[in-house]
Amino acid sequence: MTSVVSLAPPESQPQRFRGMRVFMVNKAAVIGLILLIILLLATLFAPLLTHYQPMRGFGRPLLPPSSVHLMGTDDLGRDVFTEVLYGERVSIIVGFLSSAIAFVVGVIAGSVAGYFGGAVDNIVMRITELFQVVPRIFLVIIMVALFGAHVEVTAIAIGITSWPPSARILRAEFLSRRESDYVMAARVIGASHWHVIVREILPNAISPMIVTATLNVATAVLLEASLAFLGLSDPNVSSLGRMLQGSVQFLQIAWWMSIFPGLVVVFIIVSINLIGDGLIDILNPKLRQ
Amino acid sequence: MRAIGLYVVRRLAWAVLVCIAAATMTFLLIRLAPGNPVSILAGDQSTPEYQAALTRQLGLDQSLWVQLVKYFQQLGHGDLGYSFTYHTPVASVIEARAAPTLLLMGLTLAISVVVGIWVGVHTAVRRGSKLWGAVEGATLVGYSLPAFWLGQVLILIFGVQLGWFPTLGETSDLGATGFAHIADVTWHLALPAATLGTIEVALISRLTRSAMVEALGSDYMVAARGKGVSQRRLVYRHALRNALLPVVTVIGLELGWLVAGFVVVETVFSWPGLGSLTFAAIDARDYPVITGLFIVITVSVVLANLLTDLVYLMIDPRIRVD
Repeated sequence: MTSVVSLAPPESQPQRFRGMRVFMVNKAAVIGLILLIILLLATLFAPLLTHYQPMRGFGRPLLPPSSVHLMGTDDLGRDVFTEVLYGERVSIIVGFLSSAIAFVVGVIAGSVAGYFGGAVDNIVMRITELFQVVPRIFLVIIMVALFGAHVEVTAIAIGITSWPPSARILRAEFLSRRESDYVMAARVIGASHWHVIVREILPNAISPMIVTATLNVATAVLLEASLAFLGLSDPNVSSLGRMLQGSVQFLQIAWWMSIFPGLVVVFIIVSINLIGDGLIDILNPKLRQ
Repeated sequence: MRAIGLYVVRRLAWAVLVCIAAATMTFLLIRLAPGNPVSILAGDQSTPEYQAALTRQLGLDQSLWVQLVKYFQQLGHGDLGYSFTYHTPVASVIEARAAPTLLLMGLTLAISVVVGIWVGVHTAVRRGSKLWGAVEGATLVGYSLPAFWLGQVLILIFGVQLGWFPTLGETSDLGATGFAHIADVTWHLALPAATLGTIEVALISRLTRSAMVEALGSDYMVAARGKGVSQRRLVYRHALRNALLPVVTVIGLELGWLVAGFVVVETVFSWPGLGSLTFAAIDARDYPVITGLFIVITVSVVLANLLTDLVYLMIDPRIRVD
């Protein structure tokens, strides 16, 4: 059925530019975007920003911040600034990877449930509700503890527990569109279910999903940091959450071990939430939460 | 009347189903994991005799179906397994740690719901006001704070710098009784409760705000305003009553997420509840305790949601009609 041209009304070019303009006018969202870009560049060019290597001690332990160690050193003499720059990588990789996984699962579950309706919808939505009610942190802890605290295990565990909201949103979009004229027209011509779902409805229904996917990145960063804080992180890689676990017993004497990694986690999450809020304003002012 | 009965039965059946599904998930994960389920459930340092006994008890040498049936029989008797680090049944390990968590959770949730809804209503009604705009910004930041880091910051400020509050544990004077004991616990509760409360207030106020914004823009508000209803009555009697239901539903759904907050906060403050137990169990890889906690907390969250459903039934006439 590849010969069938999409019958869905195409989103016009000027409208997309309008979206861009609304986003750029939203001051908070622009600040979020700039902050995120700075954070991404900092971790990407980490080797240029510090002449220390991660996971190795270079100074005396527990030195306060100075010109030699911008954020001080930790209990093993490691440079906190270097650890923060490299530790950001895990947060960002897990954040985006698990959001992508949740997006894919959410698209499949949401579109199948919303398009076919009836018994299929009922079963898929019950599974969705199940994943929403179950305390996620424990499910993720069990998976990561059993299968090993590697970056990819963590990302998969977080991804497959965070798709329910996006599936629900997409299902609602599909339910409201599956009876529309362009879907009917495509069916009359003899388009396959696959074509109708992927080429007709999905391109029109996907935009609210972008918001959820963005906010999922923030939640995933928080969850990854929580796991590392609880001792579930790859011991060979720098991680902001694990730094914050190590800092607890030195709070009385080394505030810098806690403040700097924590601020970076907060900056990552705030920047993504600001961008998400901006996207809500563009895509659907009514969705604003 | 029959419709209500059917609704209650359906919700009850669903609650039971969720618990069964959660238990099955842990069962399958342990069998799918790399390594032998016997050593996962018995610990690496266990004796061959104990491993053999466990294999017999759980039917680990038999088919997966037999194992599943035995597992559910065991759960049916309230047996969550045996902790190899505490050398006691998991159920009694969890029971011994439940009270401090219930105290911390119950107190912060009760305060946060009231404060969060109040803040949410005001950020929705007073849009355009500088002060409430700033409060809304603060809720976004509060919502983005990792609980375990906020706890450390509060320890640094109020514990280390100012020395106002203790930073560890539940009590410092073990001999205290009566009022002195209550005061001691309250003293220790202040910082962990403030940490969790800040994050919960941020979450609940953001939920309330969006529900209120939608309610304030609806047709019945225009009608009520046209009737000349006072602003105060308009906000609290008309808009908030309608906004409250979705807020309560989402709080119910977010309970599973709030659990993540208390696990890490209890760990920061060494609060002797289920959260610190989780941390200790992860550290020792005491899987029976971890899965036992998962099942117990799932059942609690499901019960809380069931309770919300029943409260709805009483306060919202629309559900009875459906």
